[in-house]
Amino acid sequence: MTTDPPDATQPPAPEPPAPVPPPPQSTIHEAELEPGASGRVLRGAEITFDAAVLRRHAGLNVVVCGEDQNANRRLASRIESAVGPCQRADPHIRHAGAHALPHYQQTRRDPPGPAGHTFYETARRRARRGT
Amino acid sequence: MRYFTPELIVMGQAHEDQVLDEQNRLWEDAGDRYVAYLDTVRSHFPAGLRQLDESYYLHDAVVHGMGRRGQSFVIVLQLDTPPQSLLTFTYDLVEDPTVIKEALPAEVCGSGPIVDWQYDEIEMAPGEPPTWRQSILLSNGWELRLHFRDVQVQEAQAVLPAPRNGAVAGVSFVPQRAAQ
Repeated sequence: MTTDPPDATQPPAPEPPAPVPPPPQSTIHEAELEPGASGRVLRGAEITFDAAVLRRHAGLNVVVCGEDQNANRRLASRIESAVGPCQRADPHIRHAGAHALPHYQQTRRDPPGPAGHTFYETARRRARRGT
Repeated sequence: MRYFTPELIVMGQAHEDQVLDEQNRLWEDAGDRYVAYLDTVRSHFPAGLRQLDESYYLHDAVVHGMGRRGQSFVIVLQLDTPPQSLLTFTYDLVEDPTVIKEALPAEVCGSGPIVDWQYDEIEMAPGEPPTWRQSILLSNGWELRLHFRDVQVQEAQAVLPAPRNGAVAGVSFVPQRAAQ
């Protein structure tokens, strides 16, 4: 009669595969433009979607940051669309250095929508921590 | 516009990730080529054009007016970048300006009273000294083409329209009673 536990002769159970971390989610931040020729976007405190829409209604800038440029772009579009009819625009490039960011903004219409932009990061173009 | 073409701008209004990724690649490539070209001619920039190039990010500046006086062409605009200064560009023209009124298709043009400076491209014209061509794409769909010797740049702190943060430096606002 054996006293071994019944599973002592069985091979150890394989360890479960390490969970794949989900891709980092896009984050929304207050934003300001840097004075001067760079067009650089300075990123500030992280804010919620609703706070971003309120900030945009006030004519202020926000920026969507993250590693996935398509996710950033879609979120930027959702924010700006919540403010009113909008369109996408690319940065003007005149100097070396990936400073300026693409963005969504209100269409130019009558009466005008709020000023300002919802910027978003791409694989090449990043906001700078700064405000 | 040789680099930031209307076709690329229209492509940038797509909604599909795949199209926008390709548009982003093409835009970055155009930017790289334009910067490489400018870097070959920047050392020849006259003083005013150099000031414009080194000091201001003009995208989304609001164009408050433009007009001609003799051999000068004047553009008044307000920067989108802080502190939203007012700029007056006075171009010393070589030849008459040209406006292409439908450079952008209607679906990407603004329809309201506000007109923005969208993109511009500068090109050196051969000569001794060289002269300069600038194509400026506006949000109303116009492409303004200027051929000039140099541009005089004047910057003023904005009072009206006021900067968006409300900060007006160097001007006192007082109630009517206090002013008497």
